[in-house]
Amino acid sequence: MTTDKTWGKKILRDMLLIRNFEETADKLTLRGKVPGGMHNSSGQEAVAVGVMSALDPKDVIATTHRSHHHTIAKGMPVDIVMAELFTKATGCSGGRGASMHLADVENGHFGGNGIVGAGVGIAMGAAMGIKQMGHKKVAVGFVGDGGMNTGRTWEAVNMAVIYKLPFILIVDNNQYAVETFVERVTGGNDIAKRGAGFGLPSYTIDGQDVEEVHRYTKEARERALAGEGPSFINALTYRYYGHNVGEKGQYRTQEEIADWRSHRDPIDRFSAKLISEGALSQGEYEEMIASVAKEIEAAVDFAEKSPLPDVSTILDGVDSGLLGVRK
Amino acid sequence: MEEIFVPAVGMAMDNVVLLEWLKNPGDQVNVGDVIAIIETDKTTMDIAAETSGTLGAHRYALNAEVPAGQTITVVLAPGESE
Amino acid sequence: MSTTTPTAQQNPTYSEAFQSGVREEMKRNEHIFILGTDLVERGGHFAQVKGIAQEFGQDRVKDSPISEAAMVAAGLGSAMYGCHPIIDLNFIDFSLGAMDEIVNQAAKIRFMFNRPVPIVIRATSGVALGGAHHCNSLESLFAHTAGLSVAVPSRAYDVKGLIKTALRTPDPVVFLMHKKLSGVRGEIGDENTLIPFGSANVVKAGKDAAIITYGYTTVTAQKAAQTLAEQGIDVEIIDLRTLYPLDTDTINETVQRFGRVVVADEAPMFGSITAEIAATASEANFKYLKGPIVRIGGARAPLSANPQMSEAAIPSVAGIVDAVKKVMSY
Repeated sequence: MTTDKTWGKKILRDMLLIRNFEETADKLTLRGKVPGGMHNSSGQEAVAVGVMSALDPKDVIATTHRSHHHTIAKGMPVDIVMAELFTKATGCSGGRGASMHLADVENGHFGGNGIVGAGVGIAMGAAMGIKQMGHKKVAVGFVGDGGMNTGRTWEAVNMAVIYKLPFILIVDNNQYAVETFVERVTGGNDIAKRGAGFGLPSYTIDGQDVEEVHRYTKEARERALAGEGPSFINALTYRYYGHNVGEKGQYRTQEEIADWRSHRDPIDRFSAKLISEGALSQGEYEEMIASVAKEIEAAVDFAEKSPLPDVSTILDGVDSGLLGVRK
Repeated sequence: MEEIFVPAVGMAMDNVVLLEWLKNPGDQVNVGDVIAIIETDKTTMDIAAETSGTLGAHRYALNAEVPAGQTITVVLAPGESE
Repeated sequence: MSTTTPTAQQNPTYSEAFQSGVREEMKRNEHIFILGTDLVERGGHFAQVKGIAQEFGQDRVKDSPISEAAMVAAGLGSAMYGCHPIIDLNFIDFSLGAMDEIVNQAAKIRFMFNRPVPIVIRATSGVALGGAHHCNSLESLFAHTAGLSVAVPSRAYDVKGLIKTALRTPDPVVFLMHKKLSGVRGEIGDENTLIPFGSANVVKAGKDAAIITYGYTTVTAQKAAQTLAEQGIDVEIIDLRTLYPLDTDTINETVQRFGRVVVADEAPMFGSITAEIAATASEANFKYLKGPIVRIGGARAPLSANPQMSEAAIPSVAGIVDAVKKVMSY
């Protein structure tokens, strides 16, 4: 199927923006600019952009420890994301969260998370809120393959099914839980089958094909809005870097990484498609790459120049204070 | 010019100690050559060059504490200077 | 023959006081809903929500699978979205299956993301029959966690007044109701009676020494006070009502006034809230003290199913009497 030109360019640019953000942030992390380090999502852009492009901006997401791509695809400006990585006052969480706790709850981003599988539950809860209030929205919970083996994930899936919640679970399946290959630790080896066992539409899809991810998410969203309940999408993808920045594990071969990069890269695949369909010229593509680089450069500059949070505020915002606060 | 630096890895932003210089200023270095060995609180780590060229000045002395992320030397391409 | 006064019989139970407070607030705020196990037909294991599903419908009182992590997750996600859920965990022992959701998520979201998490986590707590997995006193864990408030009412009046306050506050509240108090009747306030958190209640005035306590130990302390009165010692009893916020003003005034203070509860004494109270009150009021603040609490042991063993693990009337005599000896 031919891709709509304007839509395709937006999608491609979003993926490029994420890729450049991650490559840049990775280097800055090694330089000590990102306290606590970060988890690089390079290679997984199509999952984030494919899902988010099928959602309404007001839909809710909750995600994982690896969430820069989801956050940028959700529409958070890259300077705000970068500033949060730098733990600056101008970051989305005022520097309190850093890489793992990006959020903009007001705009439906219910947070990255340091606890495996926790985002699934929070998104399920948001879906319950949506249903309680009779809103026409969906909530999407992201989880990795590692989160397929923690009980809370399946508790949330079950609950979404029995209450028919407008909920979509996306397995951003990069195949490695830190250094552990998914098949070594996942009984049955078929994640979508597990989902199906809970009685909801469950699919394993090509997470490197942004249009496929978009299509499945869109259908899931339509089902949810029609009151048909949740869906489960296992998107197969791959991360090019280690679990955390600086990690150079021996748990996979350089050939495997090179193979995914050269044959299945989501950006290469999609840009090639747009170019071959005449939706994008080589010159436009290069301009796009340059404009993205400029945007990220400005984001780094913004983060660098932003003030650090005021240390005297460390006790602020723990609770509303309405019940009384003991200083 | 490639900056050779001590990478900030892990969740502690501790100083590391420069254990050993394996290349000296003016030495010819190749891609992958180990230039220095550092010691963190957890382990020792090789710092290697990613480009080829001539090594610049040592910016830290042996056994000096280096903050994570800091440049310890550079690899200069032909014609470049520090 | 003992007779019960007609008014006392008309008074609601501790559980009914909870129902009453929740009903009123559910009418006031359509975004309050309750999620927990066995709520619709049974009305909860302690009848704490009996009849509410029939009145408000199953959209607002939901029977849950036994999935504590998902229950609290559903609560906190929907709270972030704008609801005000009551998550009924049945026994507080079961909160351990949702500790990540409570401690790592609900308690921290406002601080990190500047988003209120108006959620009540209700559970029955305290030592009674039921053994090791149904008698944990975990209140110190929650009070220790920044972002959580902890209510530990001992009377019907306080149950109603505190749950109403909790349901009007955009913060996570752990609401602990003691098993042995479920059926105890007492007066309750009207629709507009809200009890602020962090305000202790003088259960009994006295002039010689004070016992600072909460929950069921308030009852044990009152029995001890009778014994002590027979021996000429008049003790004051302070019921904290909430452990966070803690009414430090009342605690300090009490210590300053008496100089002889016992802090009592039934949670394992090692590292408990009584240690926090004794330490901070001593530090702030050292010159007023006639002697050390004496703590009495539970054994640092799992609770036994055997009633005698279980009783032996927590403060008895005699134990509290002895503790008071000790502070009187200074």
